[in-house]
Amino acid sequence: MPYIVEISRQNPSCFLFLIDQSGSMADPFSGESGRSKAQRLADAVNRLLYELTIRCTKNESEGVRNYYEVGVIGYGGGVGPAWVGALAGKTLIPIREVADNPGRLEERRCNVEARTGGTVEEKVKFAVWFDPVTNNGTPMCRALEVAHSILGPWVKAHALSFPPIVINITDGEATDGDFRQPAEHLKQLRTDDGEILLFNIHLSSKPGNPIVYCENENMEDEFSKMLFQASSILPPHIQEAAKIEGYRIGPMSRGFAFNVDIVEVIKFLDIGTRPKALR
Amino acid sequence: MTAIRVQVFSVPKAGNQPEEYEDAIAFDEGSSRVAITDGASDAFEAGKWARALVECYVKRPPTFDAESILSWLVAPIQMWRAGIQWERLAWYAEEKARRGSFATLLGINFESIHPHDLLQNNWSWSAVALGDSCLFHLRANVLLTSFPCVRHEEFDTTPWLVSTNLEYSRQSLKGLRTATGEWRSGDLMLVSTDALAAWLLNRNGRGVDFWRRLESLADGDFLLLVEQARDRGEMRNDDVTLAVIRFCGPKG
Repeated sequence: MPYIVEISRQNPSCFLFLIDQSGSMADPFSGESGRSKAQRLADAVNRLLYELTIRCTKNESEGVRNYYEVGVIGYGGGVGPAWVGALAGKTLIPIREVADNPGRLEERRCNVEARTGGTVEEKVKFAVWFDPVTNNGTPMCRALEVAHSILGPWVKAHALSFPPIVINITDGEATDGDFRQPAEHLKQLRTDDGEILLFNIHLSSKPGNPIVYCENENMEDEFSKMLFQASSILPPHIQEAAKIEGYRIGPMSRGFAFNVDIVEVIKFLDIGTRPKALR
Repeated sequence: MTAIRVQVFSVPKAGNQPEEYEDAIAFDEGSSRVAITDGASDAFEAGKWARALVECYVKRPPTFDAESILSWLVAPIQMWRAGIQWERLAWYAEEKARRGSFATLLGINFESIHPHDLLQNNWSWSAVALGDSCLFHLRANVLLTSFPCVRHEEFDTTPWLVSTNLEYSRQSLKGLRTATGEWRSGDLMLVSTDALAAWLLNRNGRGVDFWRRLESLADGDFLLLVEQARDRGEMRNDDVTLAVIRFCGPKG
């Protein structure tokens, strides 16, 4: 059975984010007049990298364990790595290097548990690896081809690893062709443990009920349908994790979400990121 | 007067270094106490937290109710905090440490039922558990009691855990379990963390020979047993710890 390899330092896994940085990402998210889709997206991916980093931290002497390699590719005015600061221009980076090189650290106030019970407001350090960018069209086909060129060598070098998870987050139609073809090409890459998993998150300015992990393409938006068709069917362990999170899951559920709120996006991304052995 | 003789075996998770072992066990034959714990992999300095818990338990165990255990936790929490150089932590370690550390806990006390009886052959045991570290009480190579888990299906990846975060522990103590039993001459108790406990429960039907083999384990035998079970896919790859506790009295 595929998708059972334990994620370990000997056999790390890989996350590659494909981030829509087209001009339309400057528009507000559906039903909200405040922050743009690009800001929400940047917050979500920074938050995920933050949680991934902390999850891989074991103790004070060892620092972060390299359970993952991570990449963030932006597509808009161009297609390329979206990191800011010391990581700028790099493709796949061990999570330890990600942890040690945030673009900047911000102090944010949040409610944390007090030792005497209840909650108190405390300053918490929050790391930022990339900023919202909005520019030009949506070269999604090219982004998927770049993903293929990055992950092709990776799967050869990590044949014993859990296959990479690619998370594509976009708000609109590809402006450089039918992306389903390069998506299929990308999903043919595999390790001994299974094919690459492609997840698609559709953030729309149009109103519409949130959809997460659906089994069929009964949706109005044509672009949503195409993204659904390009998404991988969830392997059993992610199905189980999603059920625990309270999602309705069927055997044909796909890694597709439409108009999810920011928390949903984070929960959705988070499910695919747990080393099987962590408990 | 003591009631127990304890022998301990351990094997770290395959692929990990010995210093990455995050189970802990402590015992004191004089006061007849044993404690075992399994530090959560997804926790900060889980090995230090595991050791603090069992050392504090054996030195001064709590009474077995949630409020007493919450008060008792202050001592191991202080020990854990004192073992960390807080001012030197990187931002991610600081945040991880703020979220706390987590571990299971199983504590066992053996007590004389008639303290003034010179023969001292009437003992009892009492145990407190949070999570899936288990004890197996055997008499004549037959399993009398397993505690707190009784079926191998009960081992999942989200056991009850005791935390350096007191509010978390307050919630988690809803899962507190206690048990008692008689402790007689010739009795045997096996105490283990979850990977081995699940394997043992899955094999309980194999009869007296299976348990007899475990009673007479030597160090090399234990390593071989664990490696073979892992290779056959019968035992989850995890830190493994076993204590073999024998009755020890004037006639033991």
